[in-house]
Amino acid sequence: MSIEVWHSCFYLLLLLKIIIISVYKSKRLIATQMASVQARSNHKLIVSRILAALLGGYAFVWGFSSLGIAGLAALGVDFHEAETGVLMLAFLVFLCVFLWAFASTSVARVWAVLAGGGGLMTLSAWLVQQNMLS
Amino acid sequence: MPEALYLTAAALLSLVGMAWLALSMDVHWAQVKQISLADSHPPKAILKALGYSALFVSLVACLVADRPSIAALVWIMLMVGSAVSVAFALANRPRWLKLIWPIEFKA
Amino acid sequence: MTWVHTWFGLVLGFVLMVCFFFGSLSVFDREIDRWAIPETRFDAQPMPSFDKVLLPALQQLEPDERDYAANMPRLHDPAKGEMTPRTELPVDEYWAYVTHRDPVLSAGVGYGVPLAKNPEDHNHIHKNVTLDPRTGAVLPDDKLKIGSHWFYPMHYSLQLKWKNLGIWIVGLAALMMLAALVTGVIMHRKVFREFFTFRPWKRTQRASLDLHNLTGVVALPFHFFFAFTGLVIFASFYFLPVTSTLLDPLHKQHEIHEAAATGLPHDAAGVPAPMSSVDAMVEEAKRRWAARDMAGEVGFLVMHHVGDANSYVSIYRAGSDRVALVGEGIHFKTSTGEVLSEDPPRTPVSEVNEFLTGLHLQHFEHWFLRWLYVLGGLLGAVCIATGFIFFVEKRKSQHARSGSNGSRVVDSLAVTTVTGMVMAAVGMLVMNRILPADMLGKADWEKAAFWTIWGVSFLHAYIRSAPVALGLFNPAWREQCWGVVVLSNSAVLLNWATTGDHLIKTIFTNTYWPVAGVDLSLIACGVIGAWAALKLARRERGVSVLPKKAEKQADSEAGEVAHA
Repeated sequence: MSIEVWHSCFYLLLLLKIIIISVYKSKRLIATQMASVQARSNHKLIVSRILAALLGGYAFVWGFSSLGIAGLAALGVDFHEAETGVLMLAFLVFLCVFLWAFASTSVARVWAVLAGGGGLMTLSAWLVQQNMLS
Repeated sequence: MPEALYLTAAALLSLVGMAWLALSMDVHWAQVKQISLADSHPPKAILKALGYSALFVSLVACLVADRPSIAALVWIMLMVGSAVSVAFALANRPRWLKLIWPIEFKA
Repeated sequence: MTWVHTWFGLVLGFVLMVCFFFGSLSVFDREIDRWAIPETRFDAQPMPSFDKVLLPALQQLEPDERDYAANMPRLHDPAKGEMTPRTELPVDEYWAYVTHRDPVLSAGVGYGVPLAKNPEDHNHIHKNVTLDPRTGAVLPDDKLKIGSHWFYPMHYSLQLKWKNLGIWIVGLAALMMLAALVTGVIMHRKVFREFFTFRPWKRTQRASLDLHNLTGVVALPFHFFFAFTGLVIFASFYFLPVTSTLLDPLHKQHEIHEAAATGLPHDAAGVPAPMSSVDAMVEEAKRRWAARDMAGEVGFLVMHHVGDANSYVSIYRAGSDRVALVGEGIHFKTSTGEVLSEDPPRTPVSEVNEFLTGLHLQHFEHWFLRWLYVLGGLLGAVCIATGFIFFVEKRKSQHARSGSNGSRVVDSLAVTTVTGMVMAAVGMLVMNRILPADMLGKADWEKAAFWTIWGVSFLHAYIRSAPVALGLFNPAWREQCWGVVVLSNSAVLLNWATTGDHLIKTIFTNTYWPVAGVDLSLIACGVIGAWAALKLARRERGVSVLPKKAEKQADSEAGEVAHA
């Protein structure tokens, strides 16, 4: 198993961690802003939250599945086994992030984590694959 | 043929087990005995013990009848059917449940 | 969380009603096929002789015209030469499938595509047929298999085939079902204390909520597992096709490794070779399964690279005695009949996946468990339906005051997806019996009957639901219940009139449970419909349908205090 893959994974995860922390830090800022435009944009917020839960959630699960399968395959697990196992977990993950999307106080945070995290994981998976094929 | 016998036993045990568990609750004890909630003092420990035991023996009967993977499903679905039956009996004919606890101990 | 449960439950609930109801019917889909196609009312047979029955039948087939027209241009590379005519396509694959649930046998041929764009891919033009296993005669495919080809696909795809939209909608609904179960438990924390609580003597809003909670909680494992396994079954093909898109290169790399590992040739050699006795291979397979302490019948048989030196036959064991599906494949070299490889025992991950998939698809032979599945499915339908009723009851007074039409719309949709849906399904069976057996286009008429009855049911429901907008009782429910009664009884009588199979015959003198079962279920449906209609009529008139006064008082006291 090559060291480059581990390095790229590490940096990507670090990037993900930075994004999550900065979103949390701006939570307070977002909350006060939200309160002032509450009445007008309540409707838009609900729609945004539903889209975040469904589309963002799907993106997150896609990333989770891709990285899970590619990652496990890279670690030597049989490809078909990895696929079977990860896809079973994927829907449980989707259920959890979907419910979290409605429990979370900040819609922006939901978008960042789900869409952002999903994108990052998908990219990581592609990198892992590139590495395995070469 | 014995498979059918074991499954019938499993079904009956599941039904009676659920009924005992229902009776162990104050509300349902009161419904069946037709007394007020304040006077409802079911012998909880023994009813719960009997109830859970009956459900366990039902599982054993299922395992004797079929392979484990099928037996597990039959057992779970039997409990579903039993719970619904008990709930409907409590709602419409609560006196039928007196059959499973005819004598009352003066504890 | 309540918001999520209420609104996602309401919107996707209508889809879920279809899934649960038609899913319940699908448990006995092949039996419904027998009812709808009387020529197939015989007993299930084991896999017949390949050499004597299947091979001659398969050799008579030609590539399907529609499949050729649709897919040949897509698969053939014009730069390499002329497109091979339909009748000259080489045979590449033979397959046959039996199940204990179905008297008829599914079989087919996969024809190769010469000069294909991607020779590495699985380039096949198909011809699938239904055979009578006793003779090998091809059964005409224009008779709609109402159970397995209408009700069953309805439950996972809503018959919405454009871009597989229906499957995606059902998938979304399944995920929402999981969310609804979790949020429901969060909302109704007294899950065990109120496990058996059902107070039908109380007003509709309380009684419907009780029944909603009861059917939801008691069958929670069932509902959760069915929604979850439904998603898992379609995961890699539809919902998360990660390995055929993003990770396709890795997937292909693995396929080549796997082919090399099993020793099963991925490609044809291009050298012709004879075909030895497949029946002998079947005997050997059965002998090997018995030696491994799992004696069984053949469920699925497929011959790859027909007529080639690399040709091999894969024989799989039918999984009728356990939850997992067909498995334990044994692969034979076609030209010599020797065993090339046996499938290794399943890994834990595969075992779990097979168990989950098999749990949902229930190919096992266990009548009792299958009826318990129907119970679970109907309880799920009751859960969703009572959810609608509760939604309407809770809001109809306030909607009446504010002039909103919301309750009326939801209630009429609820009527449509409960009684309307039952009428559509039964009506389709009625149409099946009314039309002559050999009528051309009969399938289209049956489908038209289905959609028309459902559509008319919606119109009737909406018009008759006008009182709901005023906060009053809805007569549409009762009226459609009578519709169910009329259609159900008509179906049973028409079956007798057109086929001569009445209940005395199918239960006692010439026992045939598939047809007897459907007839009895239809009668039960009619009885429940009549009981419901009468009870609703009494309630509407305001006559008390409660138990005796003394019992009632004790019950309601106990109930009231417990929830004080």
